[in-house]
Amino acid sequence: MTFTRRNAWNGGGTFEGNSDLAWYARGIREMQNRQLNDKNSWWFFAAIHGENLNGDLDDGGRSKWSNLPGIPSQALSPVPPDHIRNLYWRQCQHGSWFFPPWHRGYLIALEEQIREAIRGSGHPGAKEAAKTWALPFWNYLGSEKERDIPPAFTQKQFEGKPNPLYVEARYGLFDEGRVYVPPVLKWKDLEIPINQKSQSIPNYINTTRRSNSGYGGPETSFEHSGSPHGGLESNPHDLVHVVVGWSSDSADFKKGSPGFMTTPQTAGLDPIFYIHHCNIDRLWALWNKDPNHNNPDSDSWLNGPQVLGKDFIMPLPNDDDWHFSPREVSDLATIKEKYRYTYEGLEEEKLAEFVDPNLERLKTLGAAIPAELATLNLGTMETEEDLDLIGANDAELSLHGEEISATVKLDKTGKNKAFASLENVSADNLPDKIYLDINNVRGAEHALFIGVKVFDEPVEAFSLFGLGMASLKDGNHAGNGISFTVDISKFFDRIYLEGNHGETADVPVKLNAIPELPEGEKLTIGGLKIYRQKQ
Amino acid sequence: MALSKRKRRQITLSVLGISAITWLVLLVNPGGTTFQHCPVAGIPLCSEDGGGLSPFALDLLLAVNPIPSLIAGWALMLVAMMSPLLIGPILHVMGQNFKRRRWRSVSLFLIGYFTVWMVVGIFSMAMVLMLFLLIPQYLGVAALVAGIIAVIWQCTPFKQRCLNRNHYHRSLASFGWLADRDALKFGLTHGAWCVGSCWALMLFPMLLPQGHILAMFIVTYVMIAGHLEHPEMPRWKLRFPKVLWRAFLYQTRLGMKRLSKTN
Repeated sequence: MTFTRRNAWNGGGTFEGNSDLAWYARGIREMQNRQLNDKNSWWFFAAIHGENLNGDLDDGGRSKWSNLPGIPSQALSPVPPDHIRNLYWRQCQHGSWFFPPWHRGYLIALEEQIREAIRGSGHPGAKEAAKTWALPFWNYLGSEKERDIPPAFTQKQFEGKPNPLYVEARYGLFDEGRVYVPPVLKWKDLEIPINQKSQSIPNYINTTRRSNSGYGGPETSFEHSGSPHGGLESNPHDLVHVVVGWSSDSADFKKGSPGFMTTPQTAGLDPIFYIHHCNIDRLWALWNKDPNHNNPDSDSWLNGPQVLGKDFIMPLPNDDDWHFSPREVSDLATIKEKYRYTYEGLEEEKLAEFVDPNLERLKTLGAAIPAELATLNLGTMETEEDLDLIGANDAELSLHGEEISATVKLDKTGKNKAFASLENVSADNLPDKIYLDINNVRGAEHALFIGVKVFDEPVEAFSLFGLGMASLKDGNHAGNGISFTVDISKFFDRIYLEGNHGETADVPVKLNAIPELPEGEKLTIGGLKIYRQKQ
Repeated sequence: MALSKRKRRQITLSVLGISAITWLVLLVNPGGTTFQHCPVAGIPLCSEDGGGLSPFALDLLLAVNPIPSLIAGWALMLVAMMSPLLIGPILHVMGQNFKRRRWRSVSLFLIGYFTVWMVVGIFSMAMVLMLFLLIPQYLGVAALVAGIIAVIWQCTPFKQRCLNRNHYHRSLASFGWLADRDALKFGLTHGAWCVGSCWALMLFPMLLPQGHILAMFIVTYVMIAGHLEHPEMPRWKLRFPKVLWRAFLYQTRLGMKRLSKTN
């Protein structure tokens, strides 16, 4: 049979109205009673995504599990032996084209564990429920009501005991007592929209590994340096993690601790994490519905990181292990029959409309667009062109408090090539794309977002989900931090149309910490670069 | 990563090609990569009592192991063994620089990197020559001791720290002399961390009376495989890098699968 994952807001999102949530809570309760070294325990499963049991992250112990509220003793010990930890833990795939398939497999494995836990719970009706139960999804981009976390996650008691779906360390936006996903996060003059615009990105792989330019993420293999995120991962995934988790005591981060959802090393502790990822997975399935959208078909993707001799591994009930690759989970219809599922309403959901950003630029730059080209994809597919560096700020920057300003000096030759591409543009002669790279952002996770302004105009903001781990010198990313890319083509178009391209010698940039950093804390930025990319 | 897939592939194949050619040269003519032990029987240098630090012994040793030959041999060893490890940093340097000065910056990076290793090489060769003079009858023991030190070092947290630092690719300046400085500095620091990670492995083959090239192959495997592993917390650990072997098995299985499909 094919399982159906349903909306967590069905029946008002309460235990009484939505049996999926009630069984989810009962299953979690069973899993939470097991100890850390039990591969079927809630805590082991959380550590598969990420963990900070040793406190090895340089965040003053803020995300160390033993310092977090509501963590029982069985979550902290016994610690499994090295070879088990190396095989299963800290597997999560981020900043990689494996982001969607790895999380899909992770959810499938957790579903199997919850079903088994439900079966073993002894609750009346458990055996029957386990036959059809599937993870619900939180469609926070649906109706206005659905933006709030379903009520079952906010009540503190369930069936006379602490509610497994409730966690104290889920602080919500600005720690104001409400957990929800706003359509736009506003901070002073910066606005961060949280939406599913990434659904209209036509290509899976980032082009030359620029962030947001691909839906699924950049191609990764041997590199360990921490890559930009793909469109789906950037928005809504990263943003929802941070607005739901946030941090306690926003006024003083030294005292506060991050919400579970705020960091990769604690996210798996919060039951809402899986419901959130269920929605992300649903969005991927929806993206695949479009016949113009294709997952990669290369063995490098389909076979997973086997080229490194590793594959994805998840513990299943009955001491079983599931080694899987993206090939086995790329299409919902071909997933192994005993795990196969679909989403409620998937067939009826409308596909995202694609608007080629090149069309808008061509209109702005005065090119005539023949009617038959109005809906064509004019060049957002993966390109073989190098990025050509045309400007740089060579100093390492330190962002204290709220904001830092910097100037990116333009190289005359590169600048002239970029502006030359804006002359006589047409569908056959596309203008260069211009990107601003913000490299090697490092720091502790006291700032939750970083905002970017160019020529004093807010352009984009990024979630700093994963910053702590990426900044760790002896961590997986070797301390390279996180890098971001912003498309600043429109500014060059504007300068060109105003006739100022001759005298423009640099690009002023401002970076904002959102919220501002407490005294003594800082973000460092390795460098700013501007590139042009011929299309 | 600013370079296209096509450009990255070109650079990768070029570097691997340079390494392969250098290996061929070494296989055909190992030359100064191997210290000559006992060229003539009966000469005090090679006697049971050892030759000692006499000028005669030193002259004889240098006659069969000319310094320019030793230095050239060491340089060839470095190019053959280390080049594949430099693909990532070279791509990084290229991506951080204006197109017109990419090869200048890459050259400065390589100068910095190989300068560190050449200095280490000179000290290593001097030490090996000393051992040849002082304890010629115990060179086998010296090789064994060097091998044990290499294995122990392989398991230390210090080695892991050096490996981790080699994965750190900071942003490099792009304009003027600052770009030159950063490229050179990147080469020097990358070289230093590489030395910290691999010094013991590189010393071992120099002391072997035989099987030097085979030892170089094994050391190259261990170094490349170690580099391909993810950075991790430094600690004492039995560290045998399996990644490259697993990758080789995977590629072999894939190749055989493709072959059977076409047949």
